This record gives sequence, C-alpha cells and structure tokens, in this order.
Amino acid sequence: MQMELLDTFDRLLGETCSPKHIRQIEKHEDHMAIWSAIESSGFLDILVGESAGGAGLGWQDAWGVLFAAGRHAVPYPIAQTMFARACLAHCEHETPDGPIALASSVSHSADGVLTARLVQGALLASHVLLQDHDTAYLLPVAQAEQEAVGGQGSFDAHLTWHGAVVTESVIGTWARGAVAHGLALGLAVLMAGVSDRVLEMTLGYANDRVQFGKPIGRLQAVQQQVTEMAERVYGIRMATQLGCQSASNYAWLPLANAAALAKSQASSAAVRIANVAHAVHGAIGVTHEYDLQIYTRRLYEWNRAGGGAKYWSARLGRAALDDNYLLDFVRKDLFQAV
Amino acid sequence: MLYPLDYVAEPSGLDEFRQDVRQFLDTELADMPTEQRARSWMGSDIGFSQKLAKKGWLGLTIPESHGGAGKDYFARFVLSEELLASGAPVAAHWIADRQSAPLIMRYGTSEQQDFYVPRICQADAFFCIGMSEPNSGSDLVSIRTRAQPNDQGWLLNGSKIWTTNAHQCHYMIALVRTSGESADRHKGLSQLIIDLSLPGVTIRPIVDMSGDAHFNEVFFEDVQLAPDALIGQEGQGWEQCTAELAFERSGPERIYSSMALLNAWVVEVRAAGIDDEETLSLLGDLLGEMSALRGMSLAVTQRLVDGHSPAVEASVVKDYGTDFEQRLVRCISDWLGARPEFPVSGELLRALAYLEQMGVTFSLRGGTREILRGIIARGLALR
Repeated sequence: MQMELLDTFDRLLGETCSPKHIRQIEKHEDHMAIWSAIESSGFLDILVGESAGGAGLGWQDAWGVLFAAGRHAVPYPIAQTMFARACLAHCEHETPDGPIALASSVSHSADGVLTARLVQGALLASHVLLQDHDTAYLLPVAQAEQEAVGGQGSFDAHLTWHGAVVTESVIGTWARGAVAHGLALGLAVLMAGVSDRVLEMTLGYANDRVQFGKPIGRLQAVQQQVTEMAERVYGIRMATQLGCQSASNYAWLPLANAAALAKSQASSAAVRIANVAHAVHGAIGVTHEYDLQIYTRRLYEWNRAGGGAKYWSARLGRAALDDNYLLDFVRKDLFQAV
Repeated sequence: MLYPLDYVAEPSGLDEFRQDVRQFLDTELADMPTEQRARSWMGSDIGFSQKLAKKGWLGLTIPESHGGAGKDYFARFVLSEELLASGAPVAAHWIADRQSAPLIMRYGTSEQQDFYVPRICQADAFFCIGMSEPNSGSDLVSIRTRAQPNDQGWLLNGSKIWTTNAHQCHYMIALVRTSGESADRHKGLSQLIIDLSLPGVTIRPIVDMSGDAHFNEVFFEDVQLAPDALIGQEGQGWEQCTAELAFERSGPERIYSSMALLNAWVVEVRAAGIDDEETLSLLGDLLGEMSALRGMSLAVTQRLVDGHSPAVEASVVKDYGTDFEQRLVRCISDWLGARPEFPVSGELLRALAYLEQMGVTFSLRGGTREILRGIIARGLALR
C-alpha cells in the first residue's frame, strides 16, 4: 500500500504541484488554489483516525505520501499539516483550514511573549501547532510578528506572539517531544523524496550532457561521485522507512528513536547529495530557470530544520548508551524486532 | 537498473534461533580479547568451525539431502550477523559456507555435489577462491593461469595471489583460462576445483602489515587435475563468478568488520561516565548508519530469497558498508585523539591499531571501491 499511495500521490502532484506551480507559489500568485487541490485529495487526513473522518493509517503508509510530496518539493508544510491534523483530531480539537506549520524550538519569556524560531513553511501556513515543554498551542500566523529567515524561494520565518493570543491558543497538555518527533520524521521523509528526485535529475543530466565528445556520465570522476550520491539516497530511503515502521500505541505518533534515526541520517547525507547534484549540473543547475534548485534548496534548508544530524544522533546515542548490546538496540529499538 | 532497496521485516520466527546462536557464542567466546574479535572474518579457528558444524550451523541454506539445514537466506543472515557482531573466528569455513557450497549446488554435477557439499557442512572441507593473479587485480579477465585439456583431464600452470586463507584450505575454486587467449577476454574462462594437496601446488603465505598471514600466493606447476575438476560449463567461468557476487557482497560482513571496536569503545565510554553531546552524537550517528545498511542488506537478502541475483544492489551495500566500516575506525581514533586524558585500555588500543592497519583492505577485498563504483554507475544506467 505504501508504494501504491506513493504512485497515486506522485501522479496527482505532477499535475497540481509542478515546478510551474511552485514558481507561482513563490510569487504568491493564486497559491491557495494549489493548496485546495492538494487538500481536496484527502491525503492530508491519512493519519487522522477513522472515527474523526480520516484514513486511520500509520506512518508506514504515510511514508509513500510524504516521499511523493518530497519528490515534488511541495512548498507548503505538508508533512506538518498531516501530522497536526492527526494530533488535533486525537485530542478532539477542531482542525483549522489551510496549511499548519509545526514548531518545537521555542522561547517563552516571563512576560508571556512566545517566539518560534525557523518555522518551516510559516509564511504559507494559516496556523502553527507549537509545543513548549508539555503545553500545546494552536496559534494563528496572521496574529504573529513575522520575520522571514530563508533565502530565495523559502517560506521559513521566526514568528512571535504577544499577550492574550498566547494564552487563548493553549489546546492541551501533551507528552513531551510529540511535535518535535512528528516534525523531524516528516521532514526526513520529505528529504528522502527530494533526494530521489535530485538523483533522477542528476542521472538524466549526466547522460544527456556531452563534453569532450561523450556524455559526462562516462567520466570516471563523475561516476565515482554519482555512485556515492546514489548510495546516500538509498540510505536515506531506508532510514526513513525504518523510522516509519515504528509507532507508539498511536499509529500517528512517532517514537523518539525512530524520528531520531530518520532525521539524523537524512540530515547527515542531504548536503552531500545536493552538492554532487550541483557539481554534475554545473552552472545551469543554479539558474532560476532550471528546476534543480527548486529541489536542492529544500535539502539545504531541511538539513538543519527541526534539529540537524548532530542533534538527533545525540538523542539516538543517549538512548543507545545504556544498552549492553548494541546490536540488540539496533534490532529492538530501531527495527522493532520483538 | 537498480531495484529499489525497500524495508523488509526480519522474519520473526528466527528469534529463537538467534538466541541459541547468541548463547553458544557467549560461552565459546567469553575469554576472547577485543583485538582478536576485531579480526572478524579474517580470524581463523578450525576447532571453532568444527563446533559450529556440530551445531548444524554450517551449510544453513544447503538442502538436508546434502548435509545442510535447508533454511533460507534470512536464517543465514541472522547467523552471520551474530557471528560477525561478536567477532567470532569464522575464517576457516567462511568462504566454503558462503560461496563454494552454493556454487557447487548450483553448477555442479550430482557427483560433485555428493562429494564436496556434505564435507563442507561438516567442516571437513575448507575452500578458498582463486581470482587475482600477480598481473590481474581488478582487471580479472586478463588472467593467465591456464588449464590445458589433456587425456587425463586438465594440466594446470600459473599462480594466484591474495588468496585468503589458502594455507588452511583443502580446495580452491579458481577462475582459469581453459581455451582462447587473453585477447578473448571473458571467453574461454572456466572455474575449476583444485585439490590443494596435489603435487605441483605450492602455497606461500604473505605476511600483512598487521603481522598476520591470512592471504597467500599459490603456485601451480604441471598440476594434473581429473576431468571432473571442472565446475559448471567450460568457458562459462566468468558468468558463474558474476552470479556469486551477490552472495559475496551483500552480507553483514560488509557492515560489522569494525563492530568489535565499537562495542569495546561504548563499554569504556559508559564506564568512564562520559555522556557529552559530541560523544552521544557519534554513537547515534554510527548506529543510525549501521541501521540503514542493515536494512539495505536485508532488502538484498529478500531478493536472494525471491530467487534473483541482485549483484549490483549487493555492490551498493558493499561500497556503502565498507565506507562505514572504515569511517567508524577513523571516528573512534579521532575521538580518542581529542581526549588524551581518557583512561583507554590497552586492549581497545590494540584493536584500534589492528583495524587502522587492516581497515584499508575493507574497500579492496571482494572488489575494489573504484571499480565497484564503475559497476554501480552502469547499474544506475550512466552510459
């Protein structure tokens, strides 16, 4: 089913969220229509319980959907929205319209000012699901001070809320780390999908581009780098599939170790993957006109977003350190062997 | 094109088997120091191999009719993983069990199967593989060792080099030229089973930089082989060799070669009460990459179980896996270098020194990295 969902959503996004559409979104041209097309597909409710009108599926199946979303570099916080909808449905909170971003890196000052740093897709979102320690908030983006913090084509921002809106937006008390884990796992699967697309484009270009009278893909120097890149792409694919295998008692709530495995591996390989893609493409790859940069910019952004390789590998290391037998930690905590 | 390597669950029915293996290893290897465990599948102990055979753990995938256990490749994955992660000295039987017995079952006559395979399963016949020659390393098709057909079978002349464990083996399966000339490349190469006790065979161990002698030079001077030394078809040796590669390249031995060092390091880190972010991050990073590789290796195992020969996918696992095994050694070396005050044991340092020296071979043995990447590039349809 994972692969069927991937194919179905991949086809749908090919029509509704092509590079042409992405450039439209970047110019803020009619971009909510593109969102509506994605929303009406029903895929955003894949993790929402059946009793709340969703598909009631877990991350194993969501993997295919998010991998496809990554392959199309969907600019909206799509993984975040899927996870947020599942969380909100679970605590029987009404789900707002529009994209929902996630935030777990937060400062909360004594006078009640709440700042969320580097919120992915914030400038396209209607709300932010934010967790500060064990308190969950659902905050309207329109009422936040917004500071764009990304480069060209980014929708990331620092968001700050003052006063009453903060206290009014509390929606409950949640297990610590829930939002951070959902964000990390979601971004990791998106990165796996972006990487897959970037590899596909790089292989295509290396075969098409002729220099010295032959396709550059025949140059051993290029083959060595592309092979290493491909191995990393397959590695992320596997690490994120592993991350999605495991779930807590709730299929939509990732386990800490699973999220840490997926995001640490995705982040540790992402920059190398993007760099090889650009090395092979040469100057054309950095032009606005050519599509490669639509995808690679996400790898650079998401590498550090929601916690980077070292942050998450340290969480994983913490969990492993006290296990007397490392292979069993890998088998039981990361592969979920019984 | 490469087949995507997707997650497959380790079959749950194998847990009891894994526990049996673990218990056996805990007892057998209780006193084995880390620097010996670090030898991994280069470490050899014939007595240990015989004990494994008594447990019925050699020839796990070989049919019971030929002395094997008739289990699938997942069972073999579990056994290999436990052996390698604990640093068991498996070298004596490793090649025979992993490659020679399956090769003979696939290409051999029923007489050859009956003669060799039960003895492999009993640890009575150890095999090595004769591929490289002094002037033929990665360019294997240029080999010059030749078996000339004569009225008694084949007359063998030439030499092989870097033959792992030949000095402890009873037989070699060698790729040799049986017809044509070097210019014919793949055509005219065949695989022969050579009884290493025959007159005219000389085995000379080569001492490596760690002081061990695990590989050898093997000379053949007018060695008379019987007609049934030929395995499979005359002239098909290259194709047969290539089909073996999926077995050779995808297994856990491309992930766990440095595992003994990682295990020992974690024990000492824990004992010293160290848990700073950098240390935890290193541990988590290594275990995370190990997990991805383990998943990929299991995915290749699934392809084998399904009856495919995923040679290129296996090459991906080998190239990535050996990079990981080497990186692990570098990282722990760097970690220690950054902490001169850390009370590291001599045992750990000896294991580290061994792996620093021999780790360079991880990306040479069974296919050199740079050549392997060319093969993977073709698998990726770079043309």
